[in-house]
Amino acid sequence: MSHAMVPSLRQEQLKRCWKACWHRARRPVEGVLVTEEQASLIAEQAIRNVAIDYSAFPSEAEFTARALEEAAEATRRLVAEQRRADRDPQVHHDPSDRRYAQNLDLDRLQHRDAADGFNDREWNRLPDLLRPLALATLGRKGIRGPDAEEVFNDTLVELARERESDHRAPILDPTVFEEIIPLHTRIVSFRAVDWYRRRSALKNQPNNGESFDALTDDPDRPVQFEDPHSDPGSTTFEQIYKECREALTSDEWELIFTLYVGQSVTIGELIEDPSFCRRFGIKTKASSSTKRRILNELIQVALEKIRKNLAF
Amino acid sequence: MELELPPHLDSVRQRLAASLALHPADQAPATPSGLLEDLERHFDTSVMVPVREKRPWRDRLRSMLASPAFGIAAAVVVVIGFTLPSLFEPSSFRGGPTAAPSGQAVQIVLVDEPTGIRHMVETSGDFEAGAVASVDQLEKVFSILGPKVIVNFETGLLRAVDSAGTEYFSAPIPENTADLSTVIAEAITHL
Repeated sequence: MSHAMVPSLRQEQLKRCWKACWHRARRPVEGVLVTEEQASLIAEQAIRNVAIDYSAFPSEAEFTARALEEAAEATRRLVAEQRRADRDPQVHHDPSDRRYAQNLDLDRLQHRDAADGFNDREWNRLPDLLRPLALATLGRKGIRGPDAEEVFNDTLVELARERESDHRAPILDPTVFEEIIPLHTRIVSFRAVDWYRRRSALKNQPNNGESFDALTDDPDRPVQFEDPHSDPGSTTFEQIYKECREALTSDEWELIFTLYVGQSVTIGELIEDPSFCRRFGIKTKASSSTKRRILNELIQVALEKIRKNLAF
Repeated sequence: MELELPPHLDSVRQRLAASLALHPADQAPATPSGLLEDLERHFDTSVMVPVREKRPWRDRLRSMLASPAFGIAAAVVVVIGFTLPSLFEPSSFRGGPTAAPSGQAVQIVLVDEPTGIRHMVETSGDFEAGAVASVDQLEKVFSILGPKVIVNFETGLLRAVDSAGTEYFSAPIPENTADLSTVIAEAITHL
């Protein structure tokens, strides 16, 4: 292969971005599925739109996060409009999604009566759909039986209750019905933490189970409670980037993105790359073990920042 | 060849690894035709530094003179030139009354000068050659109009007179002819 045929680093980054965007456009949220052709059109337009905002190529992490966000949002809007036009909430629903029987009508769930609030009859069908998923999540966190039912009922109320921060009910956040599932799962996780906190606060009562303090050293961060294997796809990279963007330097994002998100390099490749070593202040002539130790420290600092800033 | 991370950070790593998970049933097609090229061109063009073409100095000077900034700067210099002196006392800035109206050149008239004196004055570098005139008789001096310095070798006197003949300065011609241009220059300052 001649030198001219070797793709540039940026081309490699853009190809990875295309691939990620295409997948995100095709499945912006678990349960939604558009055709491959639609995904291609949306992904290309999203990347072109984001490029307009930059005069110079930003970090791969930033460009990819922005493009993913744009692609996912475009697909969600397309699906919502199609469902509205067809009056069919099942349009573009992934047939392989077996978590529940059928989508509900999101427009009806989001309809708010001036006098009675959210009282459409579609709400009567929502508990049956969400209960098995919520009880499974609570069960993994050690909350079962009547306690789990109590927490679940609280989460339903919370879906329709205005937040103090923006005076907007969480049920109004989704663009497509499938988004209610991860939204409700997060609410269930938060209420599970509250449940443990309340139980831990009852000092005079015998504490039969594990206390909240025993389970986490950071009571303000519900993410501490998350079982990483319970819902691995629930936090997208664009969400993580949005939450933690300011906390990490551009170099730290590049390191974390290439190593863990894009997984385009290995630790071994990094420590053998002189330009990488120079960029991060690692002596190129240092031993491999020294390089690995320094790299480990850099990674831990960056991951710690993400952990502290990840609000869900 | 993975690094060993503390458990609480390893869960963050797992979240990051899963955040861009691709669905195993899907296979992304190749990048659309022209997308990469367009993006490369967009970013390359955006960061490209325009190369200035080399222009002749006359063109650059002409551009500078024609620029609004130069006009403004020139106007400021003129305004300052006229207004600043007015801030001072007239006597301390302009000196005493002078005989020579502005724009009227002072003539140096040599009367019956010895050979070589005129050439020496002209080539002294202190005066313009056209300002030096020679006459063989004093009477002819008055045919030359305007203020003048009369260097009369007949009388041995050097005088500065205005166009009306009023004398403003008078001094003997120095014995050392090398000092002559210096005395003429001093006489001119009194006109």
